[in-house]
Amino acid sequence: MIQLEDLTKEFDTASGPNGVVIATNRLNLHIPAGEVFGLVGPNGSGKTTTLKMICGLSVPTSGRVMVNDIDVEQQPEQAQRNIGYLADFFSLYDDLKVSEYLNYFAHAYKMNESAIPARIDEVIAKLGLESKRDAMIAGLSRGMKQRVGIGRAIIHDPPLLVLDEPTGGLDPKARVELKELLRDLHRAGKTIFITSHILSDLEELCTSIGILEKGRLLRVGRLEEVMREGATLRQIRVRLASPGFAAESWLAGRIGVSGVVTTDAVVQFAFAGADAELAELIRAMVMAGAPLCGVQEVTETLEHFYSRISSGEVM
Amino acid sequence: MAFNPELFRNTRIQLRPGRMLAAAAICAAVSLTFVAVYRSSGAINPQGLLGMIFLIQAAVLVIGGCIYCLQSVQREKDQNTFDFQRITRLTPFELATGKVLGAPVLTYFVVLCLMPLALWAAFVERVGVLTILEMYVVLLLGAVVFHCFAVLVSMVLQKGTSAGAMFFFLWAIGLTSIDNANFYGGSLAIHGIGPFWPYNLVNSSAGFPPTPPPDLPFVNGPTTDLFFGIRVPHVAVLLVLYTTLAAWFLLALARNIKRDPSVYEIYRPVQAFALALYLNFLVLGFYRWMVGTYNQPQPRFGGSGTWQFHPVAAQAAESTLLVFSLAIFLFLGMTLLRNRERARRFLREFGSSSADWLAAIWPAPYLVAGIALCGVAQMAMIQSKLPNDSQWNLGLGALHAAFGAAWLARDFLYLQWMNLRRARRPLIAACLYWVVFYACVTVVLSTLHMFDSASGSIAAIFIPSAGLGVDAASWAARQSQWITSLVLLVVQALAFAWLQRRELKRLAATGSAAALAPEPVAP
Repeated sequence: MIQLEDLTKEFDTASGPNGVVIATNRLNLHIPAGEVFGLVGPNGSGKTTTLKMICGLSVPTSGRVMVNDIDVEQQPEQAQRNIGYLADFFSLYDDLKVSEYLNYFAHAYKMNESAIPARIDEVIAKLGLESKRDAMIAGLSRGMKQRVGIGRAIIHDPPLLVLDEPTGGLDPKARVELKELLRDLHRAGKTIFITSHILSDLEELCTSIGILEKGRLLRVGRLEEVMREGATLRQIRVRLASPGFAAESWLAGRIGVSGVVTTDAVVQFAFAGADAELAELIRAMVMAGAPLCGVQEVTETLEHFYSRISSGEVM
Repeated sequence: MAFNPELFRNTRIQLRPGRMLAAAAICAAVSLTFVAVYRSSGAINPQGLLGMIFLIQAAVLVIGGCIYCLQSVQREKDQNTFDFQRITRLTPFELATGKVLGAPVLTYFVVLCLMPLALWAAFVERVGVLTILEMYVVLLLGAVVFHCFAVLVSMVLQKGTSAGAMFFFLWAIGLTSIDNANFYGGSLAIHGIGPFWPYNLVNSSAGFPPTPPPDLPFVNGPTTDLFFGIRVPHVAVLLVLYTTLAAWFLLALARNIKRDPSVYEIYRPVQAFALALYLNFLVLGFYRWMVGTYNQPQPRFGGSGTWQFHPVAAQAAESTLLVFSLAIFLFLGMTLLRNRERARRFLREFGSSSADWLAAIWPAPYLVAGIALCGVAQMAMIQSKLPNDSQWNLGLGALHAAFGAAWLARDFLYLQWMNLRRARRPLIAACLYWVVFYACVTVVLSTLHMFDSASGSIAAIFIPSAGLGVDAASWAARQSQWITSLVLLVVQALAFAWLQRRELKRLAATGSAAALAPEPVAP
């Protein structure tokens, strides 16, 4: 669905080396249809620039963007019929009603005239905006405005949604609702390209991720593959019924075990080995008299993973 | 274009029932006041009533409309809604026309509300239907031209410059409204080109001179212009002029309105060149080759006044035409300047070897070719129209044109070089330095009396306008000095080309150096 080829964008800056910043540096990326792709990176890493180039709102200094096999720079209007875009700011026409706003964009996307009223009804129902249909946009809450913005992005039923920090500035309830809506859209076959600072949201939504830093992709791939690839050792947490067992000295020197940390009756260590070897280690521990009442493999969150691999540097 | 969503959106927002009602009520009150005053006291001259109403309508439509249009794109950019329009499937032409016609839609409504009063005044004054039609078609088309230009300015405007743009528009509206082309004088035999001009069609005290004598084919009448010696109705001239200008402005809008603002290019070089040639053609066509003086009648001796006509001096004609050309190519040059982003894209596309001398003399070739082409046309016209002027010759004409071309080339190579430098607003800074340079040099050279014929060639090295005024005697006496100053002017232009080339090479090098920087370290 999205193909980035050597995508480069340079900007002038007062601070960068030679006064030039490479916002995206020869990015190559392929996102198949049906994916929910999350782009993660610190502020200034080039996420929004990448996203704007995908939408054709900003032109690359070199390289190209293909959306649905259409070159965005060469045929912007054909490419844009496939794209629904939501920016990281709530900018709507305050002096229009919700239905008028959606009607405007339905016409601007050149939808079939006869299909527009039904589509507006459908989108309004999907977004739960029935009661606000004839309300002026100026009077809507932030969450409601965000829904109207999503309505604009999906009104022409595009196969690709490009969302820049869609959950930013929303209250927890609105965030949950938005995530549910995005899941629905994914289930309906949409490809979603999303950037967010709220990594837990991305972890819940995305099927694949890319980690961007200083305009370059540090990691890219299926979420679980990237996490597995990034994980050096498995983290095992063992809970003891009573703290009497000298777990630290017992584990010291065992093959594959390192970084043992004991806190009261909880022992956590890194383990380099397969499941069978871990089972053997646990069995030996029980045989040695350890009062085990729980064993848990600690899964690393995207947030931990990201903060571990990213130097947090910006351009 | 059958249904333009952008036009419909603007109409929907601006013509909500409440707003329409308020506008209609104000117009009705104004109309009733006019009628009441006219009926009760006759305080308003019935001959001027339609003209007065027309001026009010024109002011609302042109000035009010321009204010709306100037805000149209700028406001969308400020409110971050413009990107959402750019990403829709609206064609650039639809978006542009939607803004040009939609942004000032309220002013159209106000004009419409005042129409009953205007028609009533026309009835009272017994003004013909054709005249009414001419007045309002000219007003409508003229307003559209201004609105197109205002939306174009709004698109390229940077933040914090809208107040300046408003003043510029008021100045432009005022300038085009001046009608100093009576039938015997003025450089151009064309009446005012502003949309306020039709006021003169119904205003008997507009200051028109008497109807021109029929036996003088080289004078234009109160409502006619002279185009290459042929009398043409001014209304027809305005309609052609407005249609072509609106088309040029719409072309610029449609080319850019959906683009990334960092790579705006008002016209393709060939389009800009064609526009400049078209404007030069109009200037040449409307140039007045015969001027007249009116001798007032002597009341003591009775009788009527007399007209005396004589051809303009060839050098004056050549200088005037050249100054018009320079002004037009100044506009062309401004549209051709490349910013850093466009230069960078050019370099990345064609490689750093493209930062060669050919790239470094941009945009001089277009300017020099344009001045050369127009210079040849002007000199051919002068030779055909004023063959007996001994004070002028082709060599002198060629020198003037060469000075004009070198002047433009030098200054635009400077501006282009400055525009490629890394700065917040490089072009504005460049223009400021430009103005300061001319102001300082003019003061110094004036103080040293360097603008006289003896040392004019030295002044022309710095301020080439001195070279445009050289006469046949000075040219014959100091040919080598004038040619030396021309060569020095070309050397200055080449120096700026060298600076531009250095800047291009630097731009090419910094981009590749940054792109080759080591990958960020991943654990």
